[in-house]
Amino acid sequence: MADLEQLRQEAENLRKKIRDARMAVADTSLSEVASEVPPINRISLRTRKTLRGHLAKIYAMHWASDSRNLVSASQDGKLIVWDAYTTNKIHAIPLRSSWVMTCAYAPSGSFVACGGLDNICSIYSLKTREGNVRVSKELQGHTGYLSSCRFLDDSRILTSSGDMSCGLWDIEHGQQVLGFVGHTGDVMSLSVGPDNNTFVSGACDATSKLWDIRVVSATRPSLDMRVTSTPSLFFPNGQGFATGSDDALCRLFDIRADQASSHILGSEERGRTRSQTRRMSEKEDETTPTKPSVKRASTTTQTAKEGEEFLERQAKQAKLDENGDKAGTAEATEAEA
Amino acid sequence: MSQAGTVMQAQKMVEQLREQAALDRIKVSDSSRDLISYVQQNEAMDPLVNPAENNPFKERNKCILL
Repeated sequence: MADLEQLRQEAENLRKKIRDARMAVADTSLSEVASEVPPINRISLRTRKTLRGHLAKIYAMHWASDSRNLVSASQDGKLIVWDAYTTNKIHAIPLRSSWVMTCAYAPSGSFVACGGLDNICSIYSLKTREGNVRVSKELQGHTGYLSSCRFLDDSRILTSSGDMSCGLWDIEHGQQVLGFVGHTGDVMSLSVGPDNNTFVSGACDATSKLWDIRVVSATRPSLDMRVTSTPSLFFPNGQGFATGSDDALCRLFDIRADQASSHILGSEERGRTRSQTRRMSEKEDETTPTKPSVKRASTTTQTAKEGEEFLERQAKQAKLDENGDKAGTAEATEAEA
Repeated sequence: MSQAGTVMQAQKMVEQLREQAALDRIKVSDSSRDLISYVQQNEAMDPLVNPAENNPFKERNKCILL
């Protein structure tokens, strides 16, 4: 039996080795390398559509792969699937538990999922033979609230939970296939990489962990964050991911250099920021000027889909901040053409 | 015995750290250059930077004369 003290010492040595290795490749910062890049024009945002129908706070929304439909979840106990081009509601799905915190649209468009304080990830089939929407599976097993879920495909879904773990589920059999344990705080968000094999989770233990679904243990755990890390989002080519944090900073993590390569101040006051990848041409220290309707980090986006998602979240947040808890609305914003 | 449990945990931690320490890290300068070139290559397709002509969210002219 190995000596506990020896193991602890070895662990400490390895940690130092990792710190040194990271410093060894930190020969510059992203903003320095980007200083030669010409800046882009100011992006002006306009509300294009307002989706009305929810009766209480909207907690989450997710675009479908066609960038036309989207699903939103509200604590009025409904999931609404919208056609954002026409603002028509395609489905209004009553939920068994109204305490919903997250929702997801399957890439195929055939399913949506949601979950929250009921600790269950409920999968709804949108394309049943009878034509109605019904619960197709209830994935039980988490011992804490469901903070986020994302489909890998029609048969697998990833979840993150307040029980400090993430899970990979086989939807058909209703079972958890893999558990991703390691966080020491509520896992608040997850983002799947473009290869569908890796995902990043952000938790209240001030760390983000990068996981490989094929290898259960975290490949890159404990990337150094200062405070509670909540939203996380993968960069479109899979080479990095961004996080938002309670220290009012958004950080871009470079996976290949195994460290944070840049950070921006999202908002002047301390508070939760929305995750966003950073435009290469913006200087690191500049606080991006915010427009009245967009209070949080207003840097630009990577892909159309993620961008629209981000703007929607932002606009909703701004609207909620104005209206408090009154009737919630979802807004789709788009850059001025 | 809790002692055995802690030793196992410590062993796992050491294994995990060994794997992490053995990772290949590339220089931030190289990685940043790649990120920047990716962004620049895809700038044309970014609807926020280069707004598309046919924005499906924009209001179409709704006047219909019967």
